[in-house]
Amino acid sequence: MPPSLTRVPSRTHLLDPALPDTPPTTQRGRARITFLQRHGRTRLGDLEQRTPLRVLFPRPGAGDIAQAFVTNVSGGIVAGDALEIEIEAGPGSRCLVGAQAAEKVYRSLGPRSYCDVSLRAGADSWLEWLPQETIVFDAARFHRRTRMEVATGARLLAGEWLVLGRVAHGENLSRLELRERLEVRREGRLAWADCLRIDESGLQALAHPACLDGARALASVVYVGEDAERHLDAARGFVKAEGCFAGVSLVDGVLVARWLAARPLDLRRALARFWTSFRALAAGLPPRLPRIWHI
Amino acid sequence: MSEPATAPDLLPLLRLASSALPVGSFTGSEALEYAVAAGWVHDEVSARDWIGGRMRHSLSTLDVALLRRFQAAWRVGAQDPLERWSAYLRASRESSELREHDNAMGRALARLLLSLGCARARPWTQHADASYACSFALAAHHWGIAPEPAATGYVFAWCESQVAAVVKLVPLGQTAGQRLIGALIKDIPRCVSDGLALEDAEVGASEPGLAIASALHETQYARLFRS
Repeated sequence: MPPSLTRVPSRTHLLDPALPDTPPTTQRGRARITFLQRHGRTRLGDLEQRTPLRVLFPRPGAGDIAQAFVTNVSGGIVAGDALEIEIEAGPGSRCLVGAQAAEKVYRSLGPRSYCDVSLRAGADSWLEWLPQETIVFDAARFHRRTRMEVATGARLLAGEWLVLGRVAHGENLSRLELRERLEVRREGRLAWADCLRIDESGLQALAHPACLDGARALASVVYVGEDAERHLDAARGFVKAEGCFAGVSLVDGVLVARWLAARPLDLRRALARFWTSFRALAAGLPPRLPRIWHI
Repeated sequence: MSEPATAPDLLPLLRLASSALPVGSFTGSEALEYAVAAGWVHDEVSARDWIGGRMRHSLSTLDVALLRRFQAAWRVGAQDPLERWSAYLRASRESSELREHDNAMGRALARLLLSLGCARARPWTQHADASYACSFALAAHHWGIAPEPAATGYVFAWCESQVAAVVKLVPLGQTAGQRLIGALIKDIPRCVSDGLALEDAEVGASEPGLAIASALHETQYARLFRS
């Protein structure tokens, strides 16, 4: 038998099972969660789930508020997928909604994938949107938009968090199309807008110190509330972290904290510290993250 | 500018892009002061990289893109896009001091235009969302400057003010400053044409590093500049 016939070419893809040659199907997932306040207690209002998104409701820790976690059961976002997440905290309710695990965005051979997040904090509510990292693989084309609306007397603590390439695997970026848009409206008025754009032709932006300064992980956390200014000095202390370039500014009543890090783990630690310290300071909530976050 | 402009066409543009325009552009460094303190910008080459990068990642995709929209709105007298894009521009300025700097320059230019007889500038002398780009577009419209040369003048004036700041901060010599301008202006036509071509959904600055630098500049110990 000639040696070539003893080889099994089909096995080569097993070298990297995370990278299918073509996406199996595209999916339109949706999760909508609303919380209401009745007789001083927060409870679930509406719940809508469309595959591949599912919502989990773990029991909150002692002294903590209602919680919900969105999970993507398909194991990641492939080219052509479109996900929609809508969270609403009704007037006077208090809740924390987050991602159950890190999200992965696989490489694309053409089509883009989208994620649309809408967060609405109703009058006098407290809403936390606690992210896990979204790992954008090399050659992915991913557009995400997070819209936040904060009513009178409401308070919102919300973040988004990206890792560019599979840093732990040593993956370098050769091409990438990424749009990360964030918008905050206070009582209907646009108060803060942010737009990260990385294009195939613009990978130089990754190195420029005004852009990413070589960082492979980045996050923004905003706090919106009438008391934001009071917490500026404390937030400036909470934001400092080893391995991160970070800062806080207060823009038209929106406290914006940002981090850039070369190592994703440094950013994870920095976010955990900021989040726990800030929720304790601003809302008197336990200075800990949900157990699900540590798994 | 495919045809060489004639002298009468050029003069209003030279006037508008002049660093003698009393709008206080010299009071802001836009976080360049932090970049020098942090050691990112320390010589002519690093100054060119910093300013050139900012031109690509922010001036082109935000300021130039909006200049075109503002000027079109001034031309047809449409209030709604002026308000909407002004709110978007302010919301896109990354830090408190960057917002204040842009707002102060926008109001100063509106006041100047008003005192020179341009009545349409009046509401923008007090407007919370006033910006330099919006007032600049009104001046360009008022003085009959077409969008492309207007945007070219805007970016040139910005480059010149950044170079003036870096010459003071590093410090660099005046000749080095002129070499910097010479290098930077080669990129201006591309910065302008890319920015003018941008679609609505793509408009925005993309500078997390600048945002953090500017936030840290707000508490920097010794400062020459207000931003």
